[in-house]
Amino acid sequence: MVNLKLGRKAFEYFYALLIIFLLWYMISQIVNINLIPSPILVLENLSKTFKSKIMIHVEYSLFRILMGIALSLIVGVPTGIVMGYFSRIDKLLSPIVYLIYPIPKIALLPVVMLIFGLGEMSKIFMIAVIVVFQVIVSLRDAVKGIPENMYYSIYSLGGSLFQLLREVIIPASLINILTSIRVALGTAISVLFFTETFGTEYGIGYFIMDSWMRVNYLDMYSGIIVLSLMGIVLFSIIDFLEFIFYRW
Amino acid sequence: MVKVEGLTVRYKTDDGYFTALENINLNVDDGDVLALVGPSGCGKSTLMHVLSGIINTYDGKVTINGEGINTKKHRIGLVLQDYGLLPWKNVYENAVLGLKIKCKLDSDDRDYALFILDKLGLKEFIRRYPQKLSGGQRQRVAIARALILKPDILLMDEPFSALDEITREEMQELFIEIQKEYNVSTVFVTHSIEEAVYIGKKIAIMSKSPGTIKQIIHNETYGLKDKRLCREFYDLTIKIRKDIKEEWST
Repeated sequence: MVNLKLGRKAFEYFYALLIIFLLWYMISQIVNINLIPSPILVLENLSKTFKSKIMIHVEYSLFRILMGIALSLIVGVPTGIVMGYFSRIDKLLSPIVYLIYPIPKIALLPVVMLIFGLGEMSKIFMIAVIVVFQVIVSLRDAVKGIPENMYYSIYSLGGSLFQLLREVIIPASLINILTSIRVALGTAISVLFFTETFGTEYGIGYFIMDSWMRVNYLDMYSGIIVLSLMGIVLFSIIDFLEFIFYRW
Repeated sequence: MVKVEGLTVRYKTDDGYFTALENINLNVDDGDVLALVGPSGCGKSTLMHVLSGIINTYDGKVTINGEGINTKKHRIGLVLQDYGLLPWKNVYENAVLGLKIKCKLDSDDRDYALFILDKLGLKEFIRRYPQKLSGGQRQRVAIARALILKPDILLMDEPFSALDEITREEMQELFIEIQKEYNVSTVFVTHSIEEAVYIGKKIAIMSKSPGTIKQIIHNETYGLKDKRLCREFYDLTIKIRKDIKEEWST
């Protein structure tokens, strides 16, 4: 049954890809301009240049995105859990979180760049700062949603706070951690793209913009495909983790 | 031995205090079963929370074997109406949770856990998750968890009230058997008079809120075989029903 599920998922991906490429191909044939090359040419270009030209950019981008998400989890998971479990702390922190959450933090990029410089740190920090709020809010709600009864047996056994965390709180909110990462991933990739258009010569965002400037549309589309694939692969990893941890 | 003297519990509400329990006095001798019966909202669950150390702000004195309740020291087996199982742990992991929190598991503990699970007819389900079990099976897991702990006191908070009639009678039978064998001091909360008479050695009857103990009855039918076929069982049930008819109505 498990294999069936995974097989079905693979089929769905394949089917969606096929449709998208078919549409793309039709449009490219109808309009017949440089700006929209045929997907066949793009894939050909991609397979030729991936190792020599694109790989290095993928490495940079992946590093930034993973570090950004890791940083937001390191900060967001404990904060969310503490807010969810201790309602007094929640009362103190919630107003601040709610106020900052909707601010378009990407607008702070210039400030972040002034503080952290043009290097890796400012890009990682930017991703983390945007993602962390989603993590905090969903973790807090997850912990708040745990029924009191689940705590009772641990209380009556004289369990410590650490045991409560390990046996109840973390497993109960694990699925929400994964969901929040999934939601955050989409945002993180957009932010990544944006930050990579400044002050760097590496990263898939840079590669796309640079190809565009050089009017190399084949490279540009190759970059877009690679960026999308990165997203899909990261998504699938989350799906897989969910599948492993969510057996019950 | 569990002793409750002059226990009063108040909750803080928006407008002052709400008295949930008032001046409760109870004894559970070693190996005895005290059935606690009362109407909904009379504070039965509050009393259980006090005995299990979940509530620890109260007036009066509550002791287990002469000492104030200490959840770290005492072994308290708690069985709740909604089973209190963790859905992400399988039957075995749920069953040993109590021990695991008390101490590191050794191989004797694991053997004992498997022995009890087998005893409760759960051996073939040990790798299953609670969601794949029936209500009766889940409740057996909860009881196994409490027993594996080798508890000083077993607290059962309306354990069978979510089960269907046939399963409930089976579980009552099973409980009596297990209790006889392991001699665990038990407080058994129920809202069913029949269940109280069926299971308790002593039956404590509570009043409506604020909960007080109205009377404590020594159950003469305790230990009778095939009780549901005995006249005495029904006589006592009817007597208690008459006693509380006015008390619980309105």
